[in-house]
Amino acid sequence: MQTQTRATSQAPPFALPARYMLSGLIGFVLFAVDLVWHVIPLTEGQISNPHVIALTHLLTLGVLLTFVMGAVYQLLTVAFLIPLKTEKVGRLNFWLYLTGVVGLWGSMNTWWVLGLDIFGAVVVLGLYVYAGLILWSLSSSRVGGAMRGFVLSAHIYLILAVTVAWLLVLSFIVPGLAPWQSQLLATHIVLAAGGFFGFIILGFSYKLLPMFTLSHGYSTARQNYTQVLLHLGLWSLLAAAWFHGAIWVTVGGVLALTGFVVQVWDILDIFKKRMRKRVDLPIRVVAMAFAIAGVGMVAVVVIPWTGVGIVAWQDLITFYLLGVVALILISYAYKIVPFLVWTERYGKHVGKAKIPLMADLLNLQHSRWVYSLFGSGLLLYLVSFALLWPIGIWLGAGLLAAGVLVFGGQMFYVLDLRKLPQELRGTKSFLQGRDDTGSEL
Amino acid sequence: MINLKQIREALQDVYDPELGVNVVELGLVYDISEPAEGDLLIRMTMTTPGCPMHDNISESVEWAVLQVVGVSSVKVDVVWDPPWSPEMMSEEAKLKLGMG
Repeated sequence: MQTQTRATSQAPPFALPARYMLSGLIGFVLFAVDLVWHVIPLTEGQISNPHVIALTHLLTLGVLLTFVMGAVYQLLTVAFLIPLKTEKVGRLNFWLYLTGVVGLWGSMNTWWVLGLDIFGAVVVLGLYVYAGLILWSLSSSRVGGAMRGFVLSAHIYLILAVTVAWLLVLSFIVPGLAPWQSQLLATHIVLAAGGFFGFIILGFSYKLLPMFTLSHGYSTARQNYTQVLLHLGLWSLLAAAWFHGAIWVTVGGVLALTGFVVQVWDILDIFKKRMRKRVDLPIRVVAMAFAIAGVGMVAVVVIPWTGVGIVAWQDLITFYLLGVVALILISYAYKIVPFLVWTERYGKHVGKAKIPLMADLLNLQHSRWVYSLFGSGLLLYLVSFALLWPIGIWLGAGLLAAGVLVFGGQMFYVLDLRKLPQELRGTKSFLQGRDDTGSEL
Repeated sequence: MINLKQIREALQDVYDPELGVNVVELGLVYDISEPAEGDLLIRMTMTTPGCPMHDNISESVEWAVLQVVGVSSVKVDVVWDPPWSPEMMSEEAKLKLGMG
């Protein structure tokens, strides 16, 4: 008997996305512990405290960006129907980036300026390599539309964000750059939080939400309006960073708010046209998180006219990073991580042996515990931080950390840490007695 | 001569692992033919282009039909025209997905 197979496999080896995602999850657990450990400077509103800066970068670089990189390596083939140009570079870059992030986190905690320069350079290099690799891979994709625009833009904004971050680090040793520190910081935050995380999540959501809801026949006509509105909003906020005009902030906020409203409109259409009536809780939370992002943009519009100062902006950044970006990534992780594990362990055995369905790997209803703890903790933390109420900050941080720990436990359960090391090395097939091709079945 | 009814039965063991519905009930199998004695040609699709389960499902379809007596070779042709639409699902599949 013979088969005539098609060369369709473009997915990267399991180890490439899995290493990034695993590191992001470990980083998330560390973040939860560190949040509680270093909560005192937060209760005192010391946002420039080295531990607070280190904690913020553990979240952004060690958790969110690390997980996003793994997810992008996995989703690139699905969304753009292309292979990664070179997997080896992606694999080697993992170790470079990990070294940089761990070193940078340590240097920030102790405020070791030389370490900030050295490890900051390593992180910048790692992110240049990553963004360059994705942009190079995307150059050969024939998939067009808003999704392509969002993902391309996200990686260009990432390159700009890390370049600005490097200039900010240099400003501590180059006197000529010192007067621009606050502008560079604001530019870095807008480019990284809005330009990279915002655009990458929105872009891939155009593929993931219809896929997970089995939606067909929804309109894609408004997606380009969302893209234009969010670009204009972002540029307006960048202008605000340099020209110090409240009006620029408000215009940026209004444009971004309008963009998110159109995005929510699109999501409602996707949900309306879905064929899968029972939508998993994490996917419903993704939709809700985009609406929450809109609420955040209302705050952007209002804050410049209230005179509440830097604490409000710090609270808003925390709200956006945890209440929007992290919440959406947690939710997608509930679908992406089991998919990755299932494909590695059981994918080759479909129809050949009795194997679990993807839904059997983790009961997604249990995500309710994570959302309850994480959501209530974040809300309490944000309100308490705004009021500088120490007990509320303590309790909020504790609840939030508990939610992250439960989430980490669920993900490690799916990943099954006993099997994972061998799978990451590519040395063992999970189903005993069968080789990697499953040919003995 | 291959018994195409047996082929369809064999394909009912190939499930979309995300939806929990087999490829026949999902309406993914467009055509099954035997262009030459013992050679099987299956035209099928996926629920969406770039479906992450593309390789697993098409390879499993090959494997499943090769177990049927009389099949000496199989070619699985994954096509996108016509695109899959939910109307192609069986009533049972629609019920399983809560569309009933």
